[in-house]
Amino acid sequence: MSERPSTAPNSKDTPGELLASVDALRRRTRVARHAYWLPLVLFGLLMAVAAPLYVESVESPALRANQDNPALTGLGGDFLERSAALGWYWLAALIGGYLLSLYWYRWHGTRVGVQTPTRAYVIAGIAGTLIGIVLPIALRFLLLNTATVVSNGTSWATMPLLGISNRGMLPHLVIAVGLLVLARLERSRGLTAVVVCYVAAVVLVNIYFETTDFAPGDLSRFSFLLAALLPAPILLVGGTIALVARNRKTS
Amino acid sequence: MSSADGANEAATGPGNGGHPTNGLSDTVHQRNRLGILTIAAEAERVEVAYLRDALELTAGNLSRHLAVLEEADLIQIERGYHGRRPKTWIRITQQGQTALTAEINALRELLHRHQRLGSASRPNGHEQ
Repeated sequence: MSERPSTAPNSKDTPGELLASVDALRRRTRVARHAYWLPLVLFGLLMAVAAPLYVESVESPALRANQDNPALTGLGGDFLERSAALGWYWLAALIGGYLLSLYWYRWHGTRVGVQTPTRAYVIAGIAGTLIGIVLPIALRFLLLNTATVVSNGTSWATMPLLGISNRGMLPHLVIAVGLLVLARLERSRGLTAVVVCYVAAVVLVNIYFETTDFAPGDLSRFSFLLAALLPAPILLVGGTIALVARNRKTS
Repeated sequence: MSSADGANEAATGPGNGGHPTNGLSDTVHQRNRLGILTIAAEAERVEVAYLRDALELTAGNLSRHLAVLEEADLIQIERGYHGRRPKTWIRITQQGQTALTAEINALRELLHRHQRLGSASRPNGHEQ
């Protein structure tokens, strides 16, 4: 049987050369398999499209009627004028985003012939979305309906989390969790770096809101928009760089 | 090579004492089969056409190596269709992962031993 010259490891090679060949094959397969640019760009765009829902009207918040939003809109928070619409938007956007990325990975895997395991990514995304809906209810219960010892003892965690939830930024955390799982599945340092920068931006924005003692008039109608939009460029730029780098490596 | 043989070979790793070559499995050490397992371990499933291109093998050759690995329970072969086109996918098994890890560890151990021996036998004059 004739056999063409191969780039595969050669049993006559030294152990060092064999290991180098194995590493080269592993790297080549990883480059072919990597497709994370799309989830980055997709979630960056979904964040940008949500922008109008984070803008407040000129009317003073004190004059607004109390909101009684359905439980399913928990992802939209409580502080914002359009919390209910934001909640519905993020519920559809997160589920749609995760399912679309699953379809993308299946399509990409079939096209190049190497499939990435994505089940854990989608499970993390959908479970994160459901937890994001239930979490505000649980946090409010812990803070308001439990014994003082419990509510005081847990307030170090419940207060900042409730702040994130109220500002409509829980979806940002759900995206972070999904992308962290994806970075592990993709075994990609690049994706891990992008997700770390993204999480840092989300955390810093929320620390700013938690620690700043705002006086009346300090927050403009665009304050929540800026908070919610700041992490989006990290995903968009990271996704674009990943796409360009991938095209260079495969061309 | 039976699956029992493969498991025995995988268990005889460098960590179990003896010379690191004891950790090398005949089934896995063959250059193309080592390549197939390396690629399969990087993904959930790999298509046969990708393996053929990456390892630069003929269809017949690849098929023989896949049969050996499947018989040793190191991979699973899934045949299906994408539209009207037949596609064959390879999935590494848990035994395959273990055997590949044992092989890589044995190679690393051999490399370290080789480097240690090399530096020990170096003449002193080289260091002056």
